[in-house]
Amino acid sequence: MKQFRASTLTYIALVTLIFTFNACKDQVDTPPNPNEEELITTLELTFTNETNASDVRIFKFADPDGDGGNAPTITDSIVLAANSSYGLAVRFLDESKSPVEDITTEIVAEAIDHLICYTTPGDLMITILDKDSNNLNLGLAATVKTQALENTSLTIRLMHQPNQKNGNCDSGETDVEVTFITTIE
Amino acid sequence: MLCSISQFALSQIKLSGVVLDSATQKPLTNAFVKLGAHKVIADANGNFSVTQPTAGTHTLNITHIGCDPLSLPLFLVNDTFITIFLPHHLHAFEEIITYAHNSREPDARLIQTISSKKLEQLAAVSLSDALINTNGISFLRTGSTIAKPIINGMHSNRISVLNDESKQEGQQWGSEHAPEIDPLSAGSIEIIKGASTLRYGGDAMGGVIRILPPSFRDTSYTEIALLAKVETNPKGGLVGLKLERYNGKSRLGQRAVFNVKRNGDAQAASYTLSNTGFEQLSGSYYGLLKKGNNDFSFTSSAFVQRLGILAASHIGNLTDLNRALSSDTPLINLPFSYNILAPSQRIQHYTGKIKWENKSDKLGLVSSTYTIQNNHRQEFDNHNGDLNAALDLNLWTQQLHLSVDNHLEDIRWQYGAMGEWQQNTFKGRYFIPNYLRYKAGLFAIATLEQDAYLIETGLRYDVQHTTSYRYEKDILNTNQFQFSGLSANVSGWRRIHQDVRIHLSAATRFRSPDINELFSNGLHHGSASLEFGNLQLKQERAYSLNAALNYNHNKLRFQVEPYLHYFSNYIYLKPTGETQLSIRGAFPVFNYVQTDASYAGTDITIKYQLATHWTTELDGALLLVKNQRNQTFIYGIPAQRTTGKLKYSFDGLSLKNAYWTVSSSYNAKQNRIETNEDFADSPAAYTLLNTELGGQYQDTRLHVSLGVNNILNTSYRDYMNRYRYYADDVGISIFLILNYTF
Repeated sequence: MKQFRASTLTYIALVTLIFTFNACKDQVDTPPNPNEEELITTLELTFTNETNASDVRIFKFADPDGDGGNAPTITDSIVLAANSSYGLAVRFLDESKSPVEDITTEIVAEAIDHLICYTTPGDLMITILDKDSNNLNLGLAATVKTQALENTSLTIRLMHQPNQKNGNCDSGETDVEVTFITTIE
Repeated sequence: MLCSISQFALSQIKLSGVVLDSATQKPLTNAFVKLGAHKVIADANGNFSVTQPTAGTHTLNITHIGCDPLSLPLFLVNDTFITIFLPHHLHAFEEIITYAHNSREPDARLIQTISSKKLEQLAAVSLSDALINTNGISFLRTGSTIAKPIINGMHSNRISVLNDESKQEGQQWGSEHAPEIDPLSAGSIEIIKGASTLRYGGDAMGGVIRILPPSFRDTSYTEIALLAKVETNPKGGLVGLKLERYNGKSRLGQRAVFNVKRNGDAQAASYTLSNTGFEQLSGSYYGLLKKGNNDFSFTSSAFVQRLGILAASHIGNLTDLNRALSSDTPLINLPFSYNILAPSQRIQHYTGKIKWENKSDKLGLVSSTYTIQNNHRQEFDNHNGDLNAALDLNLWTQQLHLSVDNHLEDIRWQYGAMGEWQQNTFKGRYFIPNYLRYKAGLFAIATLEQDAYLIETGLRYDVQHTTSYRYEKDILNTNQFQFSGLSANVSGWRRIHQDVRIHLSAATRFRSPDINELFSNGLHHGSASLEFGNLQLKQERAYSLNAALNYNHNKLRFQVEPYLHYFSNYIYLKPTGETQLSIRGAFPVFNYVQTDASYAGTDITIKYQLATHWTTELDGALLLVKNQRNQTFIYGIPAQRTTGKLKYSFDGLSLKNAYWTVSSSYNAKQNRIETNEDFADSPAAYTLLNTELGGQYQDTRLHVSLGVNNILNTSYRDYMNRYRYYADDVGISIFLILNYTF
């Protein structure tokens, strides 16, 4: 084996240094702006009365800075007529961007990993109408049937279930969870 | 001519003696005795005699199979007879507590050392593997693959891991960020508990784990060592290669180490822990050239790791957490696999180091070290998938250390300076900001050693300046922080009896708030908590007392190490008990706050040789931590634990220096918690049973060990494991380690 000289050591060290400083070009004073990241800020529900197409009711929940930070700014209550049947369309928006970005299209594109779940302690009857390519529920479109007068609530959850979707709501990670105070009048 | 020869003969001194087993007082045959250049072998009655040509100071070395080598400085004037009691069979006792450093320089630190050989026998590819049997060390875990050492009840920012003298820099503030160290590249590992660590910075309040470079034997040799480990749970194993070469003529030593490890999903007692696979690739090169009074060394190392995060532990919000807590088994249960899917971590750590040491009569030992490190941590989650990291932190560190170690009269002086430059940049999601940080430190330590006692005092000054860069609502904000302060310590030991030694150490040190404590702002993805840092945090200061009592006589070794640390402005993450609503649902809120806190505890080790072949060991660790401002308990402190071990040492079954151990460890339930502060109650107490058989195969240089961990396949959860909310810990596992040196 060749003799390993101190000069060789110094040389290796210098090469290492030059290499590392070249790799070190990241600019510390220009951090990424987290607001450019994708965010869901708004959940929008559109109810259309199936027997009266002009009876359209839109309810919103908006948290413009996403999780953390400030409290949500719009927290509508749902008001529906008793003993009626409504078609429900759900949209997820990023209103921190201009123009507003519709995240719903991404959910449709990744339908096999997503499920929208509806829960209520009251008498509302919710039937999901849309399916993903595996014929499992998706939940962006539904029928909501109201019964007698009541004060109740409706919780809507967007579940992210990569590689684990089986049509049930008990697996995966919650991306959106909003509980609307609901009045049936 | 004749005259001169007889003169020579006249001054010859005969050293004769007998080597006895210290436990049985019986002679030890075939002990190898070396006095200077003279070597003899003791006869069947343990007798030996050596003739040494000159009077003066000589070193007597005695080695015997199954004993720790003994080295005695002797001042010879006349013919001398010496009786040596060698602690035979004491190889049954593992790591020995040493107070003196390898160089035998006077030193007041409380040190435990793990040798390179021991590390190989443990097949330790992670720091937790290496320290697993070390009393007084426990671990903060995230599953079975991420483990952070806990010393004196402290971890993360309050423990330093050092490569020789340069601190390992790799986002150690994170509880799920394990140290990026391959212990098999080390020459040995030192664990320095408590207060006597000023030389390595003031902020390591719990202690220091120091990775030392290998030392070469002073003769030309080439050695190749192969290491293999297979295990059943998690299924997988490792292969390691070590090349070591020393040229006695050119005084050049070189060592290259390369290790690969891969494991699939771990299995709890009754189900698979999905997505807990692990891959690690590590390599290092160490070169040492001795020229005259100079030692030049060069180290470079690469460490790449990819590890899965338990699928069921990555949760979206409080509803998910409650769903996970109310289920006895993990909510995601997939068949066993070697694949690592999101969520996962990918960590790369590269180190380059050059060191120059010069020995001279005038200045003593002068050493200067330059270190450069790059740590790249990427964390992937279910949203961004395997391609775009959700968290991407790139940390560059350069360090310069200068130190002098000199003797003036009876006093050993150590003094020096360090400087550090560090830059952090992130991509993707914000968790901590970009920052640029400069650190500098100065220290001086004086040590006085006498026959029966040693006293040491040290002073250290540290200063750091940080500039951070981050966006807040589209505005780029720059913050500047400067922290500085003094640390001081007085420590020493005293031999109060031939077999009894006491150590005492008092220190005051400070730690500056770390970047996460200042800047965390928002959702800790995966753990469903909102964490808020505080820019107003002050530095925390600790007042520490460490003591040790050592009793060492023939069959009994006994050691107690009590400690007391009092912190003012102790920084910790406090659950507020409130939840905050967002579009993602509700989240519990945690704030970084300061209080006064106390850590009081003790580590205890008792080793006793029951009979010729049998030894027992009992280890215990007790700890009480209190918030002194409102007398409440603090979250996340290890519970009390004890380990009992029985060891049988023998030659047989084609094995030499063989051992068979059975150990049982008991972990109490952590009852020292505040109600409603944690998501779930502390897990129940549990007991684990392990066994291992090992030894050297016949006369070959093959070391074999075969063992079973968690023999009873106990289902348990550990308070210090973050997965305890979601799943049981690892069940039964059988392993085989082969270690062959050519």
